[in-house]
Amino acid sequence: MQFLVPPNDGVSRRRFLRESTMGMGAAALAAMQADAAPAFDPSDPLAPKQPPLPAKAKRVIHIFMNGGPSQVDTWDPKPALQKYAGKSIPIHLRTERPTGAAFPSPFAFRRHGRSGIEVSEIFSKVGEHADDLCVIRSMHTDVPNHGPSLMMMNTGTTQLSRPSFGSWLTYGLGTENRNLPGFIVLCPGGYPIWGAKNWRSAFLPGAYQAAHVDTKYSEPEKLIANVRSRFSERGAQRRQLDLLAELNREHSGQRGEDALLEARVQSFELAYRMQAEAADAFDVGAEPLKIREMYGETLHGRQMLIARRLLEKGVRFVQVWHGAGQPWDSHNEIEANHRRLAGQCDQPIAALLTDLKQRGMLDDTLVIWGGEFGRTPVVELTTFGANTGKNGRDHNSYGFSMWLAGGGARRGYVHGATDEFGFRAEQDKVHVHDLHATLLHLLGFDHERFTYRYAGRDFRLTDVHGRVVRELLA
Amino acid sequence: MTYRRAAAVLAAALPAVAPAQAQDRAGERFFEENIRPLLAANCYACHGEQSPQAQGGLRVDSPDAILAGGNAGPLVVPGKPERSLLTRVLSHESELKMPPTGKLAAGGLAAVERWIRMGAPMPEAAAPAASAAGSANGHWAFSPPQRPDPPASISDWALTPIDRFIEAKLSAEGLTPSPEADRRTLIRRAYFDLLGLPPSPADARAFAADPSPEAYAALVDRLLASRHFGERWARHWLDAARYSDEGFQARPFPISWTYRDWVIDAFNDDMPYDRFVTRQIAADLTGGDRRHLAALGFLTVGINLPRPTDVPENLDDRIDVVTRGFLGLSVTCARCHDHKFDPIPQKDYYSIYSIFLNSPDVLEPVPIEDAAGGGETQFFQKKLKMRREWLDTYRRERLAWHTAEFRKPETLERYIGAAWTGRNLSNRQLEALGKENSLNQYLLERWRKYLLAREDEGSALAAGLDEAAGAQALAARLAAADRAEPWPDAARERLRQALRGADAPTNVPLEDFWWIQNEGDSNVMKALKWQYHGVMTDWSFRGGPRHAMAVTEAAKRRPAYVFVRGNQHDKGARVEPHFISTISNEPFRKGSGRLELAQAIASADNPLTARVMVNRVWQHLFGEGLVRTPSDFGARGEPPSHPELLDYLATTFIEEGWSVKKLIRRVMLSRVYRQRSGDSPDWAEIDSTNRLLWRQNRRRLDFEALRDSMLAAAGRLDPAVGGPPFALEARPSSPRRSIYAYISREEPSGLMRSFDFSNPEQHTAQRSLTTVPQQALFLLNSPFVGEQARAIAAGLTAADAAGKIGELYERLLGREPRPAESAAAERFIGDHPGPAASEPPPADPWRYGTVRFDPAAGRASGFREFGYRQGERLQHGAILPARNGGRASLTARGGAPGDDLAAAVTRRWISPIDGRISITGTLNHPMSDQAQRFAYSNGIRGWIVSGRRGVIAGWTLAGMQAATDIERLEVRRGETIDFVADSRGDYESDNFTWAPVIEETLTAEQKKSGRKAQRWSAEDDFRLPAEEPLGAWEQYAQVLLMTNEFSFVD
Repeated sequence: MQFLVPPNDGVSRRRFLRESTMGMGAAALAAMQADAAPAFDPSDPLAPKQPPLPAKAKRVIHIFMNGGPSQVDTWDPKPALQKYAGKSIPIHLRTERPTGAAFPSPFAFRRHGRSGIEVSEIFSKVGEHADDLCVIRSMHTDVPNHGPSLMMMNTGTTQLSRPSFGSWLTYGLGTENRNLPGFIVLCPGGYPIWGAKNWRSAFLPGAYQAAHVDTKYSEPEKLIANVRSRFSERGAQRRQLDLLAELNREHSGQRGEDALLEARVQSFELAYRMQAEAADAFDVGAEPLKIREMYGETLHGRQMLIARRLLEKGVRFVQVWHGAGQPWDSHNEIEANHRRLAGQCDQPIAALLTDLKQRGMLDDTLVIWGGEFGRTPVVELTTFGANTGKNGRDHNSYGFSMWLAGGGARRGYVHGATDEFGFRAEQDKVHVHDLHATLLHLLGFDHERFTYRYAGRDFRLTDVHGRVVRELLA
Repeated sequence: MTYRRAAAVLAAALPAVAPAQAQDRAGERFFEENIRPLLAANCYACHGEQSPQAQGGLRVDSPDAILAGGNAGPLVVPGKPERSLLTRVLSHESELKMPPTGKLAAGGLAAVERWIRMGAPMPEAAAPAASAAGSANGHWAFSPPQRPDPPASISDWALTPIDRFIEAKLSAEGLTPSPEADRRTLIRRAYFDLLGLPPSPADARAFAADPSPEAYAALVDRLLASRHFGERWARHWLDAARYSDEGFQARPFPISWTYRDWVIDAFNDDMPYDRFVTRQIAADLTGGDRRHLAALGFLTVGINLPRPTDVPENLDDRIDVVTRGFLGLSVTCARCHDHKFDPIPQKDYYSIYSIFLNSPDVLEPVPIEDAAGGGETQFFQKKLKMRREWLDTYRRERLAWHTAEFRKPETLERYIGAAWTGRNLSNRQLEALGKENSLNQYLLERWRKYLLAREDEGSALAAGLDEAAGAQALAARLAAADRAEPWPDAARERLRQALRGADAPTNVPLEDFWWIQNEGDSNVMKALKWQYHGVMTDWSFRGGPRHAMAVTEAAKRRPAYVFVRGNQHDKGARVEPHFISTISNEPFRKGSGRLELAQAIASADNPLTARVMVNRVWQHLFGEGLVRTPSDFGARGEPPSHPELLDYLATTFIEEGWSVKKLIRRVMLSRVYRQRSGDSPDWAEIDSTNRLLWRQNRRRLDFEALRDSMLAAAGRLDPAVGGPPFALEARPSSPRRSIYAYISREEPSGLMRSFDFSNPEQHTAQRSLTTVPQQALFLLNSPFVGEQARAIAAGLTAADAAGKIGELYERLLGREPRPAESAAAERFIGDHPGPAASEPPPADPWRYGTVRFDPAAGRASGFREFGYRQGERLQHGAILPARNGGRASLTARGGAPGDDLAAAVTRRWISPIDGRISITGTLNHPMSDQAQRFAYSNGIRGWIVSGRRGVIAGWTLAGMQAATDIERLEVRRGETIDFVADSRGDYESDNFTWAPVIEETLTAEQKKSGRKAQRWSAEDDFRLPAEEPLGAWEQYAQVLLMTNEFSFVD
């Protein structure tokens, strides 16, 4: 049974919240006392909050290229691979599966903008925004396996059950529009592998778990369960809610002021408004034609446009996945596959950047692009039971590329470098923990003091790791 | 302390020289003769026992202290004097200079350097105290509870000893308790606390009217005897046990729910808590009724990651659930280092780790009841046997394949070469070496161990290995001697034995196969295991005999080590099983030590076990425990608000035979429990969080109680206890209690999570309590609530509005309406605009269900329409496989057949026209390469069958597709066209897609008349049936279900 210790007449709600644990037990109380842990109001867990430090970014969109895009085919050109084409390279790193000779990128790279950042032809439209990008070529992570690396990117640990970045963020900042969930995951066609673990709240309250939307569909009920009634018109609902409010007033009158009773009354009004707002968020038809055309009237174009609408409506964290499963996992035929995949999202991502900029939102919206790891610069060999393809690349956790834009990230900048062949990050290495620390910094949190107490420990997104990479800041 | 351990603990990533055992003793002597005296003479004064405070956090008066180092870090890096802090400070080269009075004599420093170069050998120490891990000294939770005398009563309020403890604290703060709640409130509170259900109106009435002072105690006894008591309290425990119905990658467990039912029975039978504990850890070792094996689900329903390298993660989950669950200690904080706040050294963690390491899961769930005879049993037993054989065959074949690889000369050379090169490396360095050379770690370690043993015994085998190309030469000799039969020649036979002898590295035992498997093997093994378990799940859902997901004792005990910084590849000191050392240091000696662990936890002498459990019980009866960190009784937890009361309850609990029911009864009969939850503003100023319990707490129903209450109010609640789970969001909604809902670990129900349902990935001590609009949306819009509102309104018997309103208040809220409420209700009904006009839905020509199909006669008979919908799937039950209908189901685009021809699935079209049609479509039965290889499926058959003319066409497919086009077919109005699929007697892996499109072919005249041809697409036409809008009384009933009063217990 849930319990709660409500205040009584004469005790202000504020004081109650300050002193009480409201069902979170001492864990929450302790969390509130810990000096930088955000205040947590269980009666309104998503109430907007100010971060403890000055913040550059107010909201985040994470464009997740799940499966692991190849860095040497996108953001990290490596001419040396040409020289060694078909020959073994002098760097031996253990890979998940047997790999062979150097495999030069089949794609041409071109310099873009004043910054002159080199970008693969398959992302030439995003390349046009080079001067707004902060490309990190020295990312590295721990495990060359999809599941654990997705966990690392999303939760800061490879396997344990820990809250996702978006859950931490909504816990820390709440959300600006409480008629919508604060943390929304868009993924066309179903789930990425390891599914909802990627956006779980783990030991944080369930309110901080993401709402997952299959953007193959456009019904708002895919956004929020039960957001549409199949048996009551809106007018009938209004009558019901008016009666409900009256009965609840009568009930409270018998018992005295009680924050939790009151919060529950409010939640019905919020739910009522949510019904309309959710439908509107998905109505891309409300956008002018030229905007729709800019994004492209494709699945990915529509998905990215929905993402922008959600951000604009005050959703705190939107994570956009490329597709169900692990689409970028090009173990074979990288040329055809990477070209096709980038072809699906190049224009929508470029349009998103243009659109955010023209709306003045890019300054305080942090855009993150990347996969869970990169791919080998050497060709993958076939193995029984695992892969029978050709001309592909294996997983690579030693080095990969990501980029940031907006939200206080440095513009037109390339950070770090991999070795001559693009295998391993060597210069100014950035671990995923470091990336998390930096992102939190941009959002107004000291990653070492942004904690939640659970099971006797103060947990952090970065656990005991991470450092803010100052060079990435504008 | 042996030399090896010292090296591993201290050296972490640094090289150390591995000497033979004989050298250890020489090294220890060197330490005793040269180093210890030097330390004693120069250092003990500030870094020894006689020093009041160890300077710099360092002591050097015992081997362990030396190993532990001080604030400045490790003192010694074995093998590396130049990198050791000790030499640096002694040589006065660093900023820190020791001894501060002046340098040692040159000989002293040289001796220290030599000793470190030797690897810093020291004698084995006595079992170390938990030095680095803080001290148990004084922390309340580690001293055994003492039975305190209850304080004297101050007033006549205190009825029971519990009341006297509470009263004493209240009066010390100048507070007084609240009066007793009224009878209606009391019965509602008792029902929800004990059963998780509301009282029936008749019960509530009778109790309210019973003036007897015994009535309340009688009520509590009656509720404790109810079978629903176990369901309520089991759910509390299942939060702690991180219960879920599936493991990794959302694969259902073979049979998880027998554990859930065992917990329910345990609470209903009032199983003594010590036995409840023991069985969940070691039921396989305690003897007695085999049904208790189900208790082991406590260990086995956790995370189940599939690979050998995941073992530490899987065991961490078990250590956590056991230690936080039973002991309220966060032992897993000591996984990478000693616990920072509690007296739990890292070795305690690995000691328990060793216990679970040697308690593997059984692959085949153990039957805990006999299977009924009969066809279904045979059917499933045959399937299970077949799949078991697949697994075994695969493993044997692949082991043989890998073994042959391992014995090839080039492979031998790589392993022998690396093993010899790495013979002196730390484990972690050996791992790096293996990785670098793409070697299998397990085999590499076997080779190293083997070669070192040969070297120690002076065998010629290892003799030439230091030479250039020595490994190559040995590999060639070995490979040349490799054959199945022994050699008559002894020398050659010795070489053969090095490959095929009992201890030969390449003679890998079958049970160790998974350590050598490659990624492909691991994928196949996982899939084969899932296939096997899938059959078991199906059988269990369909009424098969109950089984237990048990663990067992390892056939051969595997050694366990401290993992340095939690890294499994960096093995430190070897550990033997024992308990949390601050509680008891006695080693466990029997098998894995699991039974002894269970007994140590379930012991009356354990200071934590009883306290933790009585606190949990208190928490469920008041909302908060006396200790408000119910699973952290350590130094970082909160101290108890009423320590004496906690100890009183704990000691009484043990004395009364660990009876949970007696404990609950004792608490519920107290006046503290029976207080009003109402306000007292003055007291709230003093104690706003009611820590001192000057009143009872108002509580909100959790998800289960809320949903069950709605079913009860609608008169639909199914009282059956136990059994397979149901799908929560299937429609029509199941009337079963919420505890039986299928719990997904990977894809937790958004609905349940939005109501703060526990996170099934980890032990949950206390659910959070949030208010979010998704909860309101469920009440406002969910089909479930709509269904209950309709059922409630349909059950009204009164003729007039006032009567109906009274009836609703009694049934839903357990009281009469107040005048204002009646007036509001009458207004709502009176002003109701009436049902919204709705278009009648267009006639739907499609039906979905199963038939008995006779291919010879071409007849489909006995159509049974699907009655349930789960997500996008229509089926025969609230979860698949359905007890009566198996896996038969249909979606918009395809489906799955049932067991056999008696349950062939059909998408039936009933012709709305007289005329001619054409049919287009593709029947596809996909199979992966692997499914093909292991013949998971024997394929399916599809037919198009006319009710009038029999079979029109038919196909048999396995792993392929076929066009199912019929160019031209005359149909009559009302004629059925069935799209039938059957499993060919084996339903597994038989999902298919088949979404036919039927088009009317118009005659020339019809065309001329401008008529348009009709078209029926299976996919497009597949949609949710429209729902009738709720009527006035239904809407009103729904409002009452949404009220705060319905959701809260005062």
